[in-house]
Amino acid sequence: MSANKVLLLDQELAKNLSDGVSITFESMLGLSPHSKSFEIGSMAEASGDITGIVSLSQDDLDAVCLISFPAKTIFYILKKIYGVEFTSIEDGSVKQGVGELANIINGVVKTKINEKGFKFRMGLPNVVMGRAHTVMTEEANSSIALPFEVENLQFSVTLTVTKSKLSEEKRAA
Amino acid sequence: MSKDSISVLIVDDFEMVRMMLKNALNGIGIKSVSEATNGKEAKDLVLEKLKSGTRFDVIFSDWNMPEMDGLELLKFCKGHDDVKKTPFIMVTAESESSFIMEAVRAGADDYLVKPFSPMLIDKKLNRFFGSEAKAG
Repeated sequence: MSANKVLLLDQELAKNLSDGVSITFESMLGLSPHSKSFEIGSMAEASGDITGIVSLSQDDLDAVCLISFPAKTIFYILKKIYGVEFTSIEDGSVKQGVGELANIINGVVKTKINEKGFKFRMGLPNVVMGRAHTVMTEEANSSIALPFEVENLQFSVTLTVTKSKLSEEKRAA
Repeated sequence: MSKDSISVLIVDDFEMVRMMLKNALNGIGIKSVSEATNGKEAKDLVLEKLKSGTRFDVIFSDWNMPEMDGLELLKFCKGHDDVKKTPFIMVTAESESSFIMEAVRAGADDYLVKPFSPMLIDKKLNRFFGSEAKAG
């Protein structure tokens, strides 16, 4: 059912991503983030002080979801959970928190995409830290980026989709 | 059974998930919450509690954990005469039916898919303790 099905980077997918973020934040954190726009491009780029990276894959498609937070935003979010102030992005709880948030958000996104007939599986989250870093995917056929705002603080979610290298090799063989 | 007398064990290797579950439980009036970071630690806490003549009223456990995962903990609990009737709720980020079926087949009494809200947890607990379980 999933073979050759095209994952369109469109308003519907933007809504899936937005829902993944909103449902997670509203139910678990009591916060209501909103995204007013989305941008579609050929290269994926995400900037922030800490980024959660989760891969989604199925036979013919690979996708990577990047969730980037400025330090100020993630410190605010985690204070809501732990009830204490955070001051360093290198704090183990901050790193773990970003990884788990990325994992939960992508769980919702994956479920919503798979409801359309895809069979994406989710990889384990990775976290990149560093003041004002930029994460760029090496190659991407297409990407969709959504800037979010919550309590006047910003963060972003970017999803890139490429044809699976494994499926290309199989086709060539 | 009033909510403030319910004793809960949360098992998850992620501190943030334990905190979010604990906050949600506190929010619905459950104050007695113990935590374990993996199945082995949870098993020790369950046995320790039994030695003191008490037991947890409900266990929320993650599936994937180091040392001893949620499935092994579930099997231990359901195979122990004094614990087998304790409601065991598997907590997962997977909402797919095959995954949920696997947990139920292994003996889980219910499942909780992340992200969860205090309202959803309350609903799950009412299944075991009745809607008469009120915050004390």
